[in-house]
Amino acid sequence: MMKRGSSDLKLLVVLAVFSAVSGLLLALVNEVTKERIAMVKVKKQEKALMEVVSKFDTVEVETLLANPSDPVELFICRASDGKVGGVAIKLSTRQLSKDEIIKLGLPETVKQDQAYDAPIKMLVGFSAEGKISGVSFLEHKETPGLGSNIEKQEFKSNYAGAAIDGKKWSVKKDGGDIEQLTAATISSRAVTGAVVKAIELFKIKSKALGLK
Amino acid sequence: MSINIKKELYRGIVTENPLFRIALGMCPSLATSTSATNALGMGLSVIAVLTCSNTVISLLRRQIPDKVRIPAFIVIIATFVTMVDLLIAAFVPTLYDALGIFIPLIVVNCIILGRAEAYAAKNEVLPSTVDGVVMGVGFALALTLVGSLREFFSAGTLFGFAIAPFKYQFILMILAPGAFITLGLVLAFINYMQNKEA
Repeated sequence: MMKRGSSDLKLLVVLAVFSAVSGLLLALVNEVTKERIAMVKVKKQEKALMEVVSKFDTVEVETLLANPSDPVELFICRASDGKVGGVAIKLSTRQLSKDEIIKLGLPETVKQDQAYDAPIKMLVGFSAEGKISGVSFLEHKETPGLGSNIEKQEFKSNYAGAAIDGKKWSVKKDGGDIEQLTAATISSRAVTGAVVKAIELFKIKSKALGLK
Repeated sequence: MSINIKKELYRGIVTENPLFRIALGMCPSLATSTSATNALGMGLSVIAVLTCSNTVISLLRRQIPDKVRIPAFIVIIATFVTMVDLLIAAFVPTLYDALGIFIPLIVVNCIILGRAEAYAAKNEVLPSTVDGVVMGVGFALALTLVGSLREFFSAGTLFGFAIAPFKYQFILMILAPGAFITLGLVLAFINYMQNKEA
């Protein structure tokens, strides 16, 4: 009996030590990498912004919905003469609560299609004339080889260049104009849903910015 | 102590190939072999993690009581994978863009735990490291083969380059059934060749 008790204790201690050491290691690595990862994300966002809004000199950021990890933001891109050349909206496919929908001024019936995995974070760019100038993905965890194909140019061209009222914004399977990805209808639907939200937000904001 | 690298490589790639012979790590393999590029990406990530985890587990093998070895291995592997994930994200962001989606999948790849249990826990450090490398290479090659076949038969491309004489699409091959069919046929072919030799 005595022996068994002591060996059980040993197992406990060994596992506890292992967990503690690995916890410590992870905390250390997290501490070392935290700032750099944040920096990489900022750089990636800047690059994405250049991709979806063609030309600009200064950028103004307006937070439409504060959230520590997943905010909705409006980037107002101005040319050197101060005129708005284009805007970009940063958002994700996250399910918004009723309060958040009201706060953003979105229609209550707005569709909220979820991504296959974690929310897809993306930027949707609009030109001053009310066209979608581009879509760029900041972060996603869609299945490699299937859902991850949302990053392909063929899929993105569903959106880029289209007038905001020029298309039926839903996937073909649901009767719309968006060519869904083979074997990744869920991802296609989620992205399309987020683009629709961005269009609605653009419509609300464009008046205030003096765009037509 | 000398290690015959050639012999070890032969063991990892042919006689004890993780995917075709030991048949471990099937689940993530089927999911990530939709194209040659994806398969190679997953394969490279597995080589890195398997080498590290085998080395560390072999180093610690005398400290780990038999009864709790599995949870201890899992803690070590998960720690490694998370560390690799964070470090790559911070210091090699371009590599992270390409491999980032595969790294978390490695935790659930039982080939890592399988080698820890079957080899690293019973052998010296150096042979365990070598075992990690050769098993990783065998896995990467096998996975790339499956990925290339699936990519070729589904879209006529290889590593994204069109190589088929005409354009076609055969969706079944990128879907889950395509993975089972390809793996089954490759296994059947290997067994057939082996039986013929014997």
